[in-house]
Amino acid sequence: MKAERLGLRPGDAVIYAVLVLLCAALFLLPLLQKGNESLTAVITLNGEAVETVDLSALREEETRTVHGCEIVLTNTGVRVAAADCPDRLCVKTGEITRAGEAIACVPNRVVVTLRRADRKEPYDGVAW
Amino acid sequence: MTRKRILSFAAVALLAAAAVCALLFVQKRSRPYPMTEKTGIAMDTIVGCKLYGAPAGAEAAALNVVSSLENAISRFRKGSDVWTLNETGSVKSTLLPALLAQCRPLEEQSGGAFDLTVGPLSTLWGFGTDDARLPAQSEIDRAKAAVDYTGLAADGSTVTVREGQQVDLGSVGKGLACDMVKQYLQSAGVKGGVVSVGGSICVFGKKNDKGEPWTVAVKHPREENRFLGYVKLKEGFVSTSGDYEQYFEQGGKRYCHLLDATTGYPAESGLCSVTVVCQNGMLSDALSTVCFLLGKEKSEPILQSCDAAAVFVTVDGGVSAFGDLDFTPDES
Repeated sequence: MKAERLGLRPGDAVIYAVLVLLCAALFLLPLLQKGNESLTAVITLNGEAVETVDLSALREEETRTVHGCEIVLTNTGVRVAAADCPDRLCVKTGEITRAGEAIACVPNRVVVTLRRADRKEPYDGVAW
Repeated sequence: MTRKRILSFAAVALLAAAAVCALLFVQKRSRPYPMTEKTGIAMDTIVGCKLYGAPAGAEAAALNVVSSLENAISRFRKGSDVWTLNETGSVKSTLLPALLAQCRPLEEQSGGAFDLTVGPLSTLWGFGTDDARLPAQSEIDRAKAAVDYTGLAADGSTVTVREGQQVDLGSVGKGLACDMVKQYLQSAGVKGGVVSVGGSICVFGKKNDKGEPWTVAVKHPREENRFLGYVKLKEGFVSTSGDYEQYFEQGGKRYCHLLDATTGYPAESGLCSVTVVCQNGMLSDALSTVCFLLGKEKSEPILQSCDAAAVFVTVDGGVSAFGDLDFTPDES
């Protein structure tokens, strides 16, 4: 018998199997870990974060008013619904729905940026 | 325990140890450097930095670099080099002479369609303000008379324009800001990063030991729910010019902010977006405007002479690339 030639006993197979399974698990674990793809909205004023909102946690539409900008947050994205700035370019930008996108109200110094909750965005920047 | 048995155990234990070491090595190799980021507003747009392996405060200092540049080149900022030049016809500047020299070949190669003295036309059309409008032909003719890049000259550090001329660096400022921020961050010892100044992107260095290429998504000029595609690059600058950011519609026609200085009107080259990739930020920014003004065919020799690549999108939705470029369309 091969096992006998190696000097193995019946219980050894179990130990080996556990070791091999552990090795396999160590390799496969990182591959099986699924990132948190949900979106987070970061609202900044003058470059400082004033609020971070997990959009996936929103049950219904929510509104924040920051320095004259009425920011509407939903499960799928963010938009500026109204602003007291003269050009209202922030309102005209419409809704942003993808990580890396941002809306700025330049006169009010407000920026809303979307990020993936796990920060594993599939791209490093957005050119526009 | 027999000798053979001990040897078998040792073999399996070694195998397991090797597997764990290999795994730890792989994980360590792909682990990104610590990331810090900051978003703010400068040059009337969003400025963002995502930095890897940066000393404390580097991202805030990077944003200050953009603000300082704005103080020097904004035509609206009282006391800036460009404001002084436009007001008095002359200015001493450490920044402008080199910038003008870099732009002059593009002004010449574009036959004057791209022209840094486009200021009077920019003011007349009013893009980016509440007063954007379609001017009368007589107004355009009057403004166009002052537009001529040969009137803009540098002698040492002194820059002059002819009377009535107005310089507008809107087509190069964001790219130049990317250049300057990159220079600052590299001198500060930052290992790698992404800088975005109003959608003009700079990527440099590495985000981890592997040195994987960076991926830059490009905004689709017409569709909100998907990107145009993704550009992969190890290092460089990506700039996009399109008719979708600043425009108005009148009589069923779209008028965008990219003005052809030879006609006085927004460009009608059949394009709605051009994305340029090259190794100089100012140049990538300027080239994206030049390409938009001239259209694909006339742009190609200019891109080639600048060792740049581009992705063109026509108003009927055609997408084509030129030059050495790793571009993947968004198929979602």
